[in-house]
Amino acid sequence: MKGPTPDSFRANAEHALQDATLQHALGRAQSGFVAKRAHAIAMVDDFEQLKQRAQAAKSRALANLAPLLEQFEASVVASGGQVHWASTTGELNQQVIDICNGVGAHRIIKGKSMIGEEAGLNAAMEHAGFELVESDLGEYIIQLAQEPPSHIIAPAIHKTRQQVAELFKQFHELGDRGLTQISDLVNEARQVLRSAFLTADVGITGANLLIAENGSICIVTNEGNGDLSASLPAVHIVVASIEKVVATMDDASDILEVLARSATGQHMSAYTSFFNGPKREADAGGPKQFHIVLLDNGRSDLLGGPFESILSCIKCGACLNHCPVYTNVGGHAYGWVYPGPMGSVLTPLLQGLKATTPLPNASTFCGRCEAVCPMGIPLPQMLRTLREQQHDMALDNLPWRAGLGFYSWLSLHPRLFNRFARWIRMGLKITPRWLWPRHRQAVQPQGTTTFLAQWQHRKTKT
Amino acid sequence: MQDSTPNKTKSDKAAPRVALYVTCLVNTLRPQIGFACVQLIERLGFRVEVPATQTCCGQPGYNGGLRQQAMAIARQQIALLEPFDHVVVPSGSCAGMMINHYPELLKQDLSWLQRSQALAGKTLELAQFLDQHHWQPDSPPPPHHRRTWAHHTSCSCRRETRSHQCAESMLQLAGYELAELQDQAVCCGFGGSFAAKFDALSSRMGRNKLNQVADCKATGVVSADLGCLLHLESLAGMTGLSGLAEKGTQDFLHVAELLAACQEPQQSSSDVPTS
Amino acid sequence: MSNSDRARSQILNTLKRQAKPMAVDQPALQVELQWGQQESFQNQLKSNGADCERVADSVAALAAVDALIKRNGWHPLPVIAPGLLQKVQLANRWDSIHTEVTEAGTVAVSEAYCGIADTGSLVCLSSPDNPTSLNFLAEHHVVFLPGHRIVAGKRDVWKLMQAEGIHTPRAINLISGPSRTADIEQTIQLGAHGPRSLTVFLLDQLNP
Repeated sequence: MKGPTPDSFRANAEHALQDATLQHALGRAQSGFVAKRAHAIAMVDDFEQLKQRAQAAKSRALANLAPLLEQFEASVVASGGQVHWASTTGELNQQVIDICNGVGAHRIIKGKSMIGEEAGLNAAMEHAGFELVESDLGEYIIQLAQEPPSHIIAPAIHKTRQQVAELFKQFHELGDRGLTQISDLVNEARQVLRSAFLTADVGITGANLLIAENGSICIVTNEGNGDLSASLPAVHIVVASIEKVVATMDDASDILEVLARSATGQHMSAYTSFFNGPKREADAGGPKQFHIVLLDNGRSDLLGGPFESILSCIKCGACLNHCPVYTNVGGHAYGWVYPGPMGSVLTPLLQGLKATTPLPNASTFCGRCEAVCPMGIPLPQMLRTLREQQHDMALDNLPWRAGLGFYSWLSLHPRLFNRFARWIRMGLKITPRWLWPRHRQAVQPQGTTTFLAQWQHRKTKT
Repeated sequence: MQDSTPNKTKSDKAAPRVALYVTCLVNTLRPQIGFACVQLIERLGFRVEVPATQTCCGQPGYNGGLRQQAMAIARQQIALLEPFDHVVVPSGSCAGMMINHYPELLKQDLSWLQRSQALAGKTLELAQFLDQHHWQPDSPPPPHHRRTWAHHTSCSCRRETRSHQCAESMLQLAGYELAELQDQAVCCGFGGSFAAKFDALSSRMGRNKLNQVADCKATGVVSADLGCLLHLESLAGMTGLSGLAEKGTQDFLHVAELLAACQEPQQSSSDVPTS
Repeated sequence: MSNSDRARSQILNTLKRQAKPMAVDQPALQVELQWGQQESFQNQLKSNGADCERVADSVAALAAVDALIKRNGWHPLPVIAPGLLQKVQLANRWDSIHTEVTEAGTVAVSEAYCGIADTGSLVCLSSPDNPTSLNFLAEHHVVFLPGHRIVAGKRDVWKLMQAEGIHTPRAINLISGPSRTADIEQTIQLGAHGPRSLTVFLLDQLNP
């Protein structure tokens, strides 16, 4: 079965609107995230100042991306780790597989990683014969359900507790135990995943930040699964995209100030951890090998161009939570791993405009995403620029293209424009009901004629 | 308002000239909003002119990816409007286009950039203009408008012109009762061509808004943007909101209409000439 | 040339070609290390779902741990971080020392390097004395923190480490509450993978 694709957004969205279970789950999620973020921001003295500092840290990083990556690499090597580079997602998957094969690994525990999702790492690892278990509860649930995430920080936001209970019944040996409470479900997953942590040969995690000055990687979680994945197995592999690098621990700190507040409405997530190289000689625990695979996948081309600032995205999810489109249709409608406004920008840039035509158009330009983005990314303007590129490539559909072209031409010809306005009035009055969408009542023009015609008429009479 | 000759400046050639840019939606579908604007602005002592060759601000093309065409339209509207002292637009969406997006569109050409910035500096959304010039009502709301209104702050008034609070305070000043509408910052789902391209989604967003209007016990919707109003009105007939009010009254009105209803009718260029 | 090397030069070359040289404003340097308020640290930590109590010294703190264990019916023997064991006087409170941190109901006791007042976070540095696994594997986590070691913000932590000549350890864990998840129906549940509870004792002094 072919799942939803970005190209079928319209149909995906209509399907999602009819899915009562999904609508129920989305309704609850939206209000929660929005209220929590608003509360967290109200609690700090000057969130605008925190945003400015975070943005300044990121600007510094993007202006020096190549030297910072080189510095990061040197720092990692100095602390005993290894850095691998991948231009494409295929290369990333192969390098992870090669590392795992190199240490004779079989069982893999994985922390949440959007880069892993972007690369389809799980499928590649399973295809190569590894046994891989997702450890973030949400990711674990969608792994069992064999679905992509529907939210970048709450991957299983579309699932109800009953659906999760069904999955556990199907995949766990529950016997007669019925799992009805959410706490039962969380405990069940804790038990099952605990043994996966303790027996894994390799832990794979993503990274929220890479710090050039000391070669540390930063992982932010609430569950602690990233920390366990990074600490218990003998090998820790980090997969991260190149724009995650910042210069210093101070710059990383400034970005962390806005991350959790924007994401879950916490001042800090329960666990913000910096990992550096393999375990030190005297350490009792920790991995013996530490690898980082850096992914480009087209990001380097964005630097210096009109879409550069999408590289500032820290994947907090605030734009999703505040988007009237996302909150009505959920993440799967977007057809790939990045949904919502940031996804509607990033997906076309990574997958090409042709295969993703509906996404930049699926916005009312309400501007709320930009208003809540802690990194100040002008998401609506980027969607508009993508529409311009679609237009230049003649990817927009012909009737729209012609219609907007005609209306723009008319706008440059005032006499015709006003005559056309009068025709529109007439047309609306005589349009039969069946030509209107069924769920809308026909819009009727009021008054005798257009405002401009009436005004002219009065002016000439007085 | 204490002045016994409220129209003193109307024919005064020295009064500042205001260009009223009615917008293509008002011009075509709700001309009475245009006349309400004229009444409101004249009362403040300005000379209102309606440049006859105004068309559309260019937003449909601009948002549809037709940048070159939008630039041509922007230049034409700038040339038309720049001679005036003020430009008033009864729409956050079109005002925002002129204020924020004309300079963005024309940023490559220094001379046009400066002209667009000059225009942006004297362009205001209607409620913002009324607020800045201390508009005052003459009388309480007329009986047929006395009900609880839900004020739908359009996204463009909220985030483009940042004037949604002006409309709110003007409506309150005029004595209108405004309901506590939940999720006021959330889009109604209009979005211009979005409503046509993604009809099902747009309708759902609109119905969500109408449900919240019903939840707060409002029986009418007022907004500073006609696009949102028409979108909601076209959906309301099918949700049962329409018809809550008395017969012969309207449920979806522009801020200008409600405010003008609190102003004494006066003989002005906006009145129907008696022959 | 390996695939990684090829990708490396390709990526770095593209970045160097694309980068727009720009004057980058350096952040205003905050010169001095700022210390934080104990009270704000405590309030923040509690709002994150942790318990925090001020005690005279480690003897009182260990007595409190014992009381917690008995009151809650946790595993009778706590796992104590090696570094802490060397410093505090157990005073024969427990007959033997427990090491199996994964056992059900176990409480792990470790020591924080410092606290962050702004966000109510504990800073735990990994070392042979303070293994990271203690912070995550036990069902309950108790942390001892000298009450005077609370800095204002995250940046101050790095300053303090530098001032004290501490090299970057394998792991720096900023812990701001018990493990939690909201992945099912956005309902917060404590104890997702890590500790179900976090209790912090602010010590006026280490030993009496």
